[in-house]
Amino acid sequence: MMGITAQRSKGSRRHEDRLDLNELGDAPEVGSLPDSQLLCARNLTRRDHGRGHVILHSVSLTVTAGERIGLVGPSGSGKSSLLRAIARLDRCDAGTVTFEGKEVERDAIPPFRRRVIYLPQRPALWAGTLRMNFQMPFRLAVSDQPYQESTVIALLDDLGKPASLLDQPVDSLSGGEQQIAALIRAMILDPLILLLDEPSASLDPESTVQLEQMVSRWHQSPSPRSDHSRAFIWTSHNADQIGRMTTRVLRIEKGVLEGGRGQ
Amino acid sequence: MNPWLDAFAPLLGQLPARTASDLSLSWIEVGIAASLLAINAAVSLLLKLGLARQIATSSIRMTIQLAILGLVLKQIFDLSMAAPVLGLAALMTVVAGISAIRRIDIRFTSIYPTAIFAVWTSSWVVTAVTVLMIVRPQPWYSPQVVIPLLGMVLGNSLTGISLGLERFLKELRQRRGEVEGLLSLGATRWESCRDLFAGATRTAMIPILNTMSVAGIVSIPGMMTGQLLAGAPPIQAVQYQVMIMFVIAAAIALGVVIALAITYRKVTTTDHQIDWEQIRWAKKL
Repeated sequence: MMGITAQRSKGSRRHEDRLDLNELGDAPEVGSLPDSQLLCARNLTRRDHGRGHVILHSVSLTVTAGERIGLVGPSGSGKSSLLRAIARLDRCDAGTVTFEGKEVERDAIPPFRRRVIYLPQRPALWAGTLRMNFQMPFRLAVSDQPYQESTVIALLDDLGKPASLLDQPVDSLSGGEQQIAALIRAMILDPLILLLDEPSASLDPESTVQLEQMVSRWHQSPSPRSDHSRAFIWTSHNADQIGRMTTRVLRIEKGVLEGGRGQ
Repeated sequence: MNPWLDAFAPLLGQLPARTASDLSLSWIEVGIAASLLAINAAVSLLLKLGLARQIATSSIRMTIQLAILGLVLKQIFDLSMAAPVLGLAALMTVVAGISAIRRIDIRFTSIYPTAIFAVWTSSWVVTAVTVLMIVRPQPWYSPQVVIPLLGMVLGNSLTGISLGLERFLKELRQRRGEVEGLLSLGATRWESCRDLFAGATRTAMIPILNTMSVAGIVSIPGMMTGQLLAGAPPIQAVQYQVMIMFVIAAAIALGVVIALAITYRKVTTTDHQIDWEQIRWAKKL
């Protein structure tokens, strides 16, 4: 793990010991600190109405501040569907998502999706330059902060990439660069939780290392706009990666989350 | 003398020349035009296009459809009552709405009612304005004014709605990643679809804008041709043609915006999601 010492000034004091536990590989006890509970999904159920089978079967899940959750399961078991359901991107047949104590529905959803960002396995950049991609989310109605290029340049610099990359059209980037660009695009919005859907599935080893380092650095630095520590859910088929990156592992199979069935 | 002309002399002799003010045709003369289809048949056979059968069925189908229309119009003209005119107009409108969808291969639940509603509202509003405020025939329901005007408006409006809906739904599916990218970074459902909505509206308007820009240079448009053949003064024919072009352009804009607005509300949810299960390819085309 990198950068553990160079971390947190404000906002994370009360989670410090919890994070130290994380470094030792222990899972935080869910619900021991009610105010550190960031997100709570309850009984999420989704059916495929065309084919009639159940995609998510009453899945419940809690994310506390600072958690690094691994979500594993075979292909088609519902990993992506669960992350998408948490981000409220799919229409579910039942279930609720609460974030910071409030149920997330209707017009609360766009601001919620700035705080809890879903990153798909295949990065979806918009045609145009990299800069345009980073600026676009700041033009949305939900945006309450201006685009600051210095933040982007600092992140690129961490990766050893020049600022001139910003003027490149996105289709000239490699798959790995696109995935990392999508990650930067999300990070500059200052989310509290990242939902990473097999982020390194199509990356070469070098890009995978860069991506893991970026997520770890992001996770360890405090959010300027929240007292809570950042958290993420990471899905992967790579057991080593799950071991490296996460401290609590949840298994999903055929839409049922192990230990995650609702009441 | 040309031996070909000699051969046709007896036939031509039976066809009296007439003055330009009376250009009514007999069915024999329509038959001569039909024989020109032999050109299409020859091309199809020579190039092995395999269209001979389709040329035959399309021709027969068109003739029967128009013959029935002629008979119905004759009855309605003779009756001179509002109800039959409105009844025929309603039938034409519903058929236009259905045709708008039949030619595209991507659907959502209730796409047919959506198209019929959009065609109906846009065409009837625009035609009503044209008939009641511009042409002002006596009585207002004069079928020889209302039916051809509505027909022209419907024909163009259905093309616009068809193009617009197809473009919107296909782009939504093809650019799913980009649309969801916007949603997952905090866009509202409108923000995520706004560009597709605008692009689809633009696509729907392009044919009429092209027609308007070449009218009179490349072709003499249909309504003007009709009026000239009927002996109307050229300036009046021009005035009518310009008027109908504006009317058609308005109907297309109104129709496609109504159709897209309903579609947008159907395929998105109040939770700012795209309801992907709604959108699917047509089973057969």
